[in-house]
Amino acid sequence: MPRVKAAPKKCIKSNLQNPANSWVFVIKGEALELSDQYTGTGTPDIVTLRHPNTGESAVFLFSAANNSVQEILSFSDGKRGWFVDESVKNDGKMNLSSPIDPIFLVLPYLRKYCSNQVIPLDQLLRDEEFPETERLLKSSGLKYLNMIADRKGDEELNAFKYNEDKTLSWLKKKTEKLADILKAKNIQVTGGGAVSASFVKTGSPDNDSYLKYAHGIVSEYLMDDLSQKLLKYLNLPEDVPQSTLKRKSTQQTPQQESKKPRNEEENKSGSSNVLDLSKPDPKMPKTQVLNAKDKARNKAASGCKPISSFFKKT
Amino acid sequence: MFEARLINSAHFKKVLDAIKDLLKEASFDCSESGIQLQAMDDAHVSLVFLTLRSDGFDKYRCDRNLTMGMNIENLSKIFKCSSNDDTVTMKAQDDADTVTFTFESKKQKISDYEMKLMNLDQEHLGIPETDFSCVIRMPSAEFARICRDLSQFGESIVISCTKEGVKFSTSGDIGSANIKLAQNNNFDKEEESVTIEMQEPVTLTFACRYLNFFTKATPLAQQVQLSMSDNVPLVVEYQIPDLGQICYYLAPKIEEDEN
Repeated sequence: MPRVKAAPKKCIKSNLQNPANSWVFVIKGEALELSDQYTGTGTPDIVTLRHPNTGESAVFLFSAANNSVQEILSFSDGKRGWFVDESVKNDGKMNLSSPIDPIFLVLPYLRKYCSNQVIPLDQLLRDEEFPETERLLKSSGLKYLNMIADRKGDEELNAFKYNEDKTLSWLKKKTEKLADILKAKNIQVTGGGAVSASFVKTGSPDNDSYLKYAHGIVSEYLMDDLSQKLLKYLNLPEDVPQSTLKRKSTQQTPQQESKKPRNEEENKSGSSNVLDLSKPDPKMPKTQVLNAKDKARNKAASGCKPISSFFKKT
Repeated sequence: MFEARLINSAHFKKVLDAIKDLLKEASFDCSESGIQLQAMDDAHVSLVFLTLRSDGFDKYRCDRNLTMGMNIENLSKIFKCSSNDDTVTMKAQDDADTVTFTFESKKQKISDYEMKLMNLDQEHLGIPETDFSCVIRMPSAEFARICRDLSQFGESIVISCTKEGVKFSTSGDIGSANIKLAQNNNFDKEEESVTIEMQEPVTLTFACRYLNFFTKATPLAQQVQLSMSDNVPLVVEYQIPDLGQICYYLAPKIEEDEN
């Protein structure tokens, strides 16, 4: 997953009446710009989706046309504040966004539900806890879904079945690409203990070390068991405990907590002259409360073509 | 003005029982020829098509075509207030927003229930005439029993129809189950015979839960007809004697493995 550096645009939403209600974002430009083909009126949206690694909620950014997804990482060291125009913002968190391959977000759903059965994609990406998951359907990256799953039935039906072999080889390619970039950027990857990634050491580390480091980065977006399988698939030794490979420990750190959706009050914002980035809630559809019967029925219905596709509308 | 009277409210109760698990609300289209209802379930994989002919009613009058959107749950609440041998009369004015049900018992008791109608977005689907590869007729109670038994084992039922007979099978966590029925013509008791008209063999998979919804219509008819062809919905048809029919359409499950 090469992280391409584009000139980041700083987008500071100033809200002088109530500076507590704003966040500071550093966002990659392409999420904010509308492509020429896009004629809709949407704005980039911040939504919560299920994180592919933890299964917990995490914050993501959809571009206006829903065609690209970026993850949002927030950085906070507690002793920081921002000057915004002529006021001081107490909350010194910095939110960074970087593009993410939407396939990583779909992967946990595919693994969970499509291992033994075939489900059309639009049914698969219905998550009652995270209703915005449906938006992934529009993201352009999903056309490569056949890299990790087999398409079954008609093209228009868009139904898939999870294929672990394909997934592993796809992940392997991702990891190898990432390792190449690590190598090209001369990033320090050896040493089990705490070593700065910018520490320059003489003597070049072997390929495996780069692969292992890259695997750690990729694993941040994989369920733990899949990460283990990938490790085996890459022929890497398993002796190193996972936690040292991962940049993020599995414990709940304050940083992860900051990814939780903010409460309603924080979301309410006054007028803004820049992009209104803090408005995930107002148009949140009221999710219909399904009782157990309806849920069971919907489950039974999965894997069927809609009946209307057989009959002509009159 | 619309008015329809049935001597036995039990008939209509059974019809309601046959649709209330699938449909939360539905539009009843009333015309001179009778009452029709066509609706998809919420998950949009099955379709119910109910026809009640005007000549099946004791008294029937429909001056202008009328569509009445009703909440099926509330409708069956109202019918729960009637006894089986009550005479029921359904009445609505043209362009009315309510419908009235009058139950008259033999003991000179008259009860009136008025229900608010709903405006439903209705989407009528044209159902094409299809020549099915297999048409199976069998006792409805037998079909209900098979669906009920197999539902304990798995979520979907494979129905495969050949010259020899029809086989229902399923498999799940605890194991698998197979039920085979051979053709058997019983001329003394026609309602107990199993007949198969087959052009070519068909094997299709369906959601068990839906088949169990359909078998709620079992009390309406002694025989059920299953019509199947590849890549078209299954039709489960119950003929309601002297009154009409109820057909259920169910989309087959997408094949697990096409090769």
